[in-house]
Amino acid sequence: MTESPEETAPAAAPFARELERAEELGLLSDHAIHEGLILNLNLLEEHFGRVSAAARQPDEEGA
Amino acid sequence: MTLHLASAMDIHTAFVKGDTTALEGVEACLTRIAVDDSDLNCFVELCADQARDTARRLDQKRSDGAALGPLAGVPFAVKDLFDVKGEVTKAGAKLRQAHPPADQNADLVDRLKAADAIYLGRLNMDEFAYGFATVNANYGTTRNPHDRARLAGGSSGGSAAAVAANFVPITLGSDTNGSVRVPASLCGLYGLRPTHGDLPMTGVFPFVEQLDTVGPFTRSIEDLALVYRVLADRPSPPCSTDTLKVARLDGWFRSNGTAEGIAGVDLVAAAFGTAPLHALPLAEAARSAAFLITAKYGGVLHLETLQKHAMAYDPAVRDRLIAGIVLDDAKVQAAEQIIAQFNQHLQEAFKRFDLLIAPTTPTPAPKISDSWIEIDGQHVSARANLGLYTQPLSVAGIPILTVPLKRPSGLPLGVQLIANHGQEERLFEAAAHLEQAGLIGFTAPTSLSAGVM
Repeated sequence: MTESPEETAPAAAPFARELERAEELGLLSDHAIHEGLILNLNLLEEHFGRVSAAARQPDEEGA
Repeated sequence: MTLHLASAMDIHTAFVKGDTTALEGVEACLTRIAVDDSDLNCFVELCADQARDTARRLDQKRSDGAALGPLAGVPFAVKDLFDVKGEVTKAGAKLRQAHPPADQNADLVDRLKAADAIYLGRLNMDEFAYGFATVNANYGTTRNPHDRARLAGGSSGGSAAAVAANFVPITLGSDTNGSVRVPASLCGLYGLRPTHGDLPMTGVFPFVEQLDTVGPFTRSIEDLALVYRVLADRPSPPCSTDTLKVARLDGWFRSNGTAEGIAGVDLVAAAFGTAPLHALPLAEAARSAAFLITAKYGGVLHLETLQKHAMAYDPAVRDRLIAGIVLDDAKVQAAEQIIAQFNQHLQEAFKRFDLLIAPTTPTPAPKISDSWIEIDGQHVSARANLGLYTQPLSVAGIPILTVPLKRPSGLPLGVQLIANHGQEERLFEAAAHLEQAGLIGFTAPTSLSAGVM
């Protein structure tokens, strides 16, 4: 499967915690991947938004 | 009989009867591959000499009057994530090139070899199976045999294109979120995602174990049923005379694709008589849930390797995996709850219906050079949306067969036939009915090199 992040503009601020976690895990140490990572975090956040919305309104979603 | 055009069943029958030799079958495939694969880019490793040796031994076995397996004389190839003894399982990744060769075959490779099928080589894929396109930074892009300017789909794109190009009659791929079904749809083939856990995964490089399955590609339903029974180590069951209760999936599955895809679903469904529309709640959310758990668990699987060798990954794959690793666990749990609810809705549907029908891909194969397609009037990323209809169903673990619509004047497009757990044979019966009705079937590509197609 794939998800291409072309549609999404990078915005680092909401992902400070995730970037910190990536740093702690040594995943940002030897290269500059912030932009690609942020694009993908944005994308996952969009998908979580749909999951979250469905969880809040199961009856409407299921109608 | 033109061997490379023949079905697996016909090759096997001709070999057993003595109308052809195994070596002739292998040479026919190798000739086809030599002509067109430098452009199509299906094989990442071709084992020509090994295949010839196997074929000679098989010809001797037949001469000796020994018992022959159900796939005797039939060439096959596998996605580059199956272990084959003596070969490196690269899983499409440069960083695995230096790994030691596998010391034994994947269970399914063993089963095919035990059935006297002849192994021909390894096929291109998206790196670590994380893609719907087979655009591989290390091994190049696999082109669609129906139109070389277009994607073959992924991640098992090499497996699909090799069968569509008449290189081999049977290949194996893997399907985590649609990686058999998407390329089968774009290349005009039959492709099976079996029930999760039905076929052994031993010796298959994992992606997301909760979702991973492996399945075959073929050009006919007869071949697909034949190879599935070998893979599952199961005999052919008696013919069923059941009348199937069929429904077309509504909502998400009718609102995001092209009119031709929806028309294909309706045409296929009509062959079963009354086939009402059935709304499957939470499909869109289930698709998003599949994205989240794929990123998380796929990422976690790669954590140690990423910590040591991040720069050796395809950048697009690397960034997706890292994003998954750092995804909040609470979000993953929310995704898993949605999946549980979605599965309940699906089981409710199976109380009323035996078979559900939905499109496989929202559009035919997109152009390699154009990463955008129109869906419901929206300009969206092609690569991101090819799994629109396969992903939600992947989380249910049910068997799904994509079948090729008969579209002699158009690019290939598939339809998903969906049944409950363990109902693979029901899918084969339904597809055989549709094939006999002339609604589905493989159409040979017109773009292949003249004279040796």
